[in-house]
Amino acid sequence: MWEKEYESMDRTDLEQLQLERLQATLNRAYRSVRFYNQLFDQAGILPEEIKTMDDLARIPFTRKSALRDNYPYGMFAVPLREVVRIHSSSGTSGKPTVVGYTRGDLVNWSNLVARILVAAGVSSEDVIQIAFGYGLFTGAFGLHYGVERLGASVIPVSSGNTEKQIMIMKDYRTTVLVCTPSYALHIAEVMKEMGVHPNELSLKIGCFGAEAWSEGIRKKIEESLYIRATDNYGLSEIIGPGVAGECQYKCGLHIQEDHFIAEIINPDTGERLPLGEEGELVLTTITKEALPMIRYRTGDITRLLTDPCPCGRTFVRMARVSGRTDDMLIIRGVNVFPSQIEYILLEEEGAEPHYQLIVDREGALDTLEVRLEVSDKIFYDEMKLQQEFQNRIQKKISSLLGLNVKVTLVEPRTLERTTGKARRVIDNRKL
Amino acid sequence: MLRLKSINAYYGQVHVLKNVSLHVSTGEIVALLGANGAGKTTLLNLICGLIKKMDGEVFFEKQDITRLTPHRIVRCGISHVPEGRQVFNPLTVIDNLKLGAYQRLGRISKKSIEQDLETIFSLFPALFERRHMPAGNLSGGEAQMLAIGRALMASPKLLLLDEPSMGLAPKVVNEIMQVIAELRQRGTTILLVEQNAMRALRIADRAYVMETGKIVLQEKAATILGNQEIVRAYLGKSKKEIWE
Repeated sequence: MWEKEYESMDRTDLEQLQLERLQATLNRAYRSVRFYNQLFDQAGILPEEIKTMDDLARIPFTRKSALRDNYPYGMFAVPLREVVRIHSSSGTSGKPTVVGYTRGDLVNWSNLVARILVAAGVSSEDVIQIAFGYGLFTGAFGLHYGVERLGASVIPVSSGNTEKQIMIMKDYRTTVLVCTPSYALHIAEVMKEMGVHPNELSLKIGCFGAEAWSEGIRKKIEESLYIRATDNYGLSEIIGPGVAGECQYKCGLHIQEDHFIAEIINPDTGERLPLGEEGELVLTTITKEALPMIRYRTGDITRLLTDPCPCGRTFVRMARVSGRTDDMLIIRGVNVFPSQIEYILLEEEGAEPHYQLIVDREGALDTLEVRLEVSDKIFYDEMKLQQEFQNRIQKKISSLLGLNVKVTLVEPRTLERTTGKARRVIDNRKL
Repeated sequence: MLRLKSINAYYGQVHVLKNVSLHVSTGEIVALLGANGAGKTTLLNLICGLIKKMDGEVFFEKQDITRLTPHRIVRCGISHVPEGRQVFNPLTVIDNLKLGAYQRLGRISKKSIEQDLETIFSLFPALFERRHMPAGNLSGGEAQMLAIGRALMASPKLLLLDEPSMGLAPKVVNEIMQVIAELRQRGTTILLVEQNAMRALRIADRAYVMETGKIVLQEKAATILGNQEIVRAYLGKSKKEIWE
């Protein structure tokens, strides 16, 4: 274990620590973040009334929309000069979600990721290839810091160029691969095409995250790359990767409870569910300085496992994420909300709000096609104008999401209409 | 060893401690930091059983001491060195020290009191030289040593120290801090209230930062020392403007 004194902490001591950190977080958020100040006041609650973990359930939830409404820095609890890093993820309509870190947050983040790497079996002897995209997303940097903290070697390859990834993996003797599970499968397929046998690699472990996957895919990855594949979980609103991760027993992801409090709620009623039941994961940060999140609704469906784990970690585990409470799609590890695409379509003159998103998997990789009904006027105009229109939309969507999408224009009234709500998303992937 | 859960305390109508939770593990030095009036002294007084108008839980070695009287709490193994020393000026140094063992009289032999005196004189040689002098004649630093020595005569497991460096010259403060570190080496656990944050953080394992009756931060002392931004953000003024 990387931080044994915390990871295997006695539950009574852990609960005391959680309570202390929670109360300090509430005091800071109430004092420094107008959103929380108003949230508490409107609910008629004072931070000092939260005396137990049960009292936490009295505080209203925070949703992703809070970040959008307070764009860009309104949710920060410290002045900008204390913030040393800013990341952002895709927002829900037009504007991204901005997250910030103080120096102390970065130290905690590195340690949390180091813990997850160690739990997965990584040591300071390893050579880790990070095939997440470096940039505004938190995935690559979070893992990068964790590897450096651990003292292992990091190869920041970033995403894409699969053949080069494989060459580096082989020649640099990479022992640990970090990417999305679907990209790992894609690498395996390209290796086959290139005639590279897994025995030619030094790969031992895969640390995969950023999208939902299944035991079936795990088996496939393990068999085609000859590695042990582990799952980890995180979201940038909370901290990025490092929220939870699997140990060698692969029986659920240990949630780092000395930094985050996990609750499971009924997504429809908002009621807290008894331990073990499946529902939406709600997280509260208790050490974050720049961006405290109180009862943040992750939108991820899971359940908590409390039976002891043979690894000796006393933190509860969460089961694999089994779905979403909202219409968010995860495509190649990128979070995509249909509303983001709708926003662009509505902006474009000529686009009627009839569209459909087709998600599929070609080989191991996700694809996204946007089918758009256009008005008669555009369709019968010159081909050149139509082509320009199509290119413009495709460029806009691709640059917003950071993903290559295909845009197809279809004739009016050709997309399927079901009674009531239009069927916006067709997901043909088999996970 | 010591565990406080969601403590609220009042002076009349004034809510002076708001939902304070805190713990001290065996062998630790824990610093309690914050500006004047943040509630640090009140918190120590509350642990000693001196504040009645309160709610919440105080546990010491798994025993609920929330409603115990002060002398019972001393008997459990908690000794308090109050702010401003509070030594008995007309009494000699040695008599002041013996008073510290008052709770143990009748339960321990005279010989063991003599042994404890020797231990304290070895810790504070200056006190030995002045053992027959009235405490009123001591310097500030010596009086502080006497106050600590008197608390140690109760042979506590946990020592509560309230502003031991107050009003002392920097050189004397260093001596006092060294003594505190040495006490921990000898097995006493310490909860230290200080306004001199930097000095306290240098000898402490962990620290809590209080502000107007609330705890706003709990962190390892080394982390706070290595991260001046935290100090600026929490010990300084609060955020008013994101662009400030």
